[in-house]
Amino acid sequence: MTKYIIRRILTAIPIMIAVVFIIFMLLQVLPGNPISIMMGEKAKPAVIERVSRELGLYDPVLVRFGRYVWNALHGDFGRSYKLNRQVSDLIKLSFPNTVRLAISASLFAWLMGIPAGIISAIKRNKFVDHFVMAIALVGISSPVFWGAMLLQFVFGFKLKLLPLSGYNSYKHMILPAIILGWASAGSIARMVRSNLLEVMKNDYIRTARSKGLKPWAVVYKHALKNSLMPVVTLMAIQFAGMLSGAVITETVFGIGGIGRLTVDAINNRDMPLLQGATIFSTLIIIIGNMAADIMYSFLDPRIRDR
Amino acid sequence: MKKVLEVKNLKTHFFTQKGVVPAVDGVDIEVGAGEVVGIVGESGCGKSVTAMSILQLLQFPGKTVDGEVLLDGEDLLLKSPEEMYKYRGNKISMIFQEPMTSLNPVYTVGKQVAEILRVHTNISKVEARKKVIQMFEKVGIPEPIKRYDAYPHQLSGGLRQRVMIAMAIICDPVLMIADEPTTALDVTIEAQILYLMKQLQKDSGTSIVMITHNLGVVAEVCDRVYVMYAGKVMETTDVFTLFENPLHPYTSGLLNSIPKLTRVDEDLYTIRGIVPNLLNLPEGCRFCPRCDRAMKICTVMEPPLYDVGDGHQVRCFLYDKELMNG
Repeated sequence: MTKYIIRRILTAIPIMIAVVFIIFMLLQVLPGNPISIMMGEKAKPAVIERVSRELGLYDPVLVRFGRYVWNALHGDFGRSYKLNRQVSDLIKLSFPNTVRLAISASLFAWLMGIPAGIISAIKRNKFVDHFVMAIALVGISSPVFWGAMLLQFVFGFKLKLLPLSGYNSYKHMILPAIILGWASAGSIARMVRSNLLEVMKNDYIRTARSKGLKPWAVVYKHALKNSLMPVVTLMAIQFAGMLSGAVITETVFGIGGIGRLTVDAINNRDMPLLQGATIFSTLIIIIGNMAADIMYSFLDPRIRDR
Repeated sequence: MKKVLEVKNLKTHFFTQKGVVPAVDGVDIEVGAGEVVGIVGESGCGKSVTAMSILQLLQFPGKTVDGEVLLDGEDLLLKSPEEMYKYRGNKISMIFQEPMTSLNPVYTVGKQVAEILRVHTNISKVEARKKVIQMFEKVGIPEPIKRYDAYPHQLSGGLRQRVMIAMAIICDPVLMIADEPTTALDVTIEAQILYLMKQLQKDSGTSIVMITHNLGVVAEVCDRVYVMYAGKVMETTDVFTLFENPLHPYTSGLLNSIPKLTRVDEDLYTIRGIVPNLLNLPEGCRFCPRCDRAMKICTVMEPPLYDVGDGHQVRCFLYDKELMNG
């Protein structure tokens, strides 16, 4: 088991290096001189030339990559051109908001999605099933900005129950959590339902029934754990996705998180910030996947033995 | 002999979109105390559905529509679902064909056997564990303490089937139904498992219904045999008579299609034709289209079960004395 976890962590390292390399290279090929962005359009060519040389921008690309990785390993992702602050500081500042949003949205998604999926599977093809699946479908397919504005209009504007935007109190967290969690609750519910129905066809479910277990015990004790395994992967990846920034939700509700930071960086052509934020998000996704695999092995003894 | 199980006129049908499939169509089975009764027949003849109907484990679209299933005189078909939970695994237990897939992959085998004790008796976890380990020892699982914490994928097919057997006997059931318990195992393991079941049966006196398509298994363990064909019992007799003096043309066909080492120059006998489609059964006797001795009456009327003495019954007009003599 420990061996498995260690191996899983070790395999993540080359992936991380590759991902950082790709992001670095992608931003290299983007058009535009970073110095002219940094210094404004009126800067003299001679000054641009001098600053570029000072910053080592004329060094070969691999040398610059090496320098970047070395600095990044020491927590230095460079300085934002626009905000003139350390990228790492900016990430540190926005990440807690994103974490709060991701946790609240995921909790909503799990607490709604898993029971909804179970109920749907048990009441298969009954009214409850169709009703739950319809709500799930709306959550998955409706655009976040539309749902967000709808909720803001009803709960914030008309009923005045909840604040429209900002992120200062737990009340501020409710609407973003619902809107971001709904889509993921929907896909979780659908996946739980289909997996549960699939697992219920297995021979060991027949065995469980032949042992005299009541139907709910058959579902909770024998079917659920088996059917949740792929769902755990989905949940972990969704959670990691939220941690890497929910761009639209953060923008609509005015939450200063990683997503907003990235969008701002793009708008301002703020290369160091964009690079730092993108790499940070990607690392979160990789870690999320790794966590999913490790969790999977806790649930499935067959993986542990591999 | 005291009768443990009496199945009377059991009818279990499947309500499919193409029509009603009478998988079990008026089956009578009796099992005496301490008796091992075999149900043999080709695939799709209704053996397994009969077993599932006894425990009422069938789900939509299968439904038992008529008949009685008397366990010690009490009709199980009249029991409420709540009452049935107390019978399953406790008074009647079942062993399935595929030991590979019949155990839940995410729980240890010990826990899965202990669960059945915890469901049916007021036993503490520690006590249950002790009892399960004893039972593992009894069914010949080596290193039972270590195996208690093993997951199914860590055990061989033979060991898994031993686990299933432990699960089936741990509550001291009055009846154990074994649905092709050795079909998925190789022959040496099959022999061990059959021997074990016979041994346990002798010790505990539990009656066994052995469902199989393998006449070798029947000869090995059964006292009495029911031969099923297309949802009906065609012949029933004790195991010696079945092999010495099979009466129904289907039974003799089955026996003749066993390969014999002494007949090297002959082709292997097969019963011509195939099992009829249950949605579209032939009129008269169900075996008639494949029967070498079919008569005119066989195509129009379904024969009843004729009693030919000593508990030997056969569903064939050849044994209608009036018809054959007059």
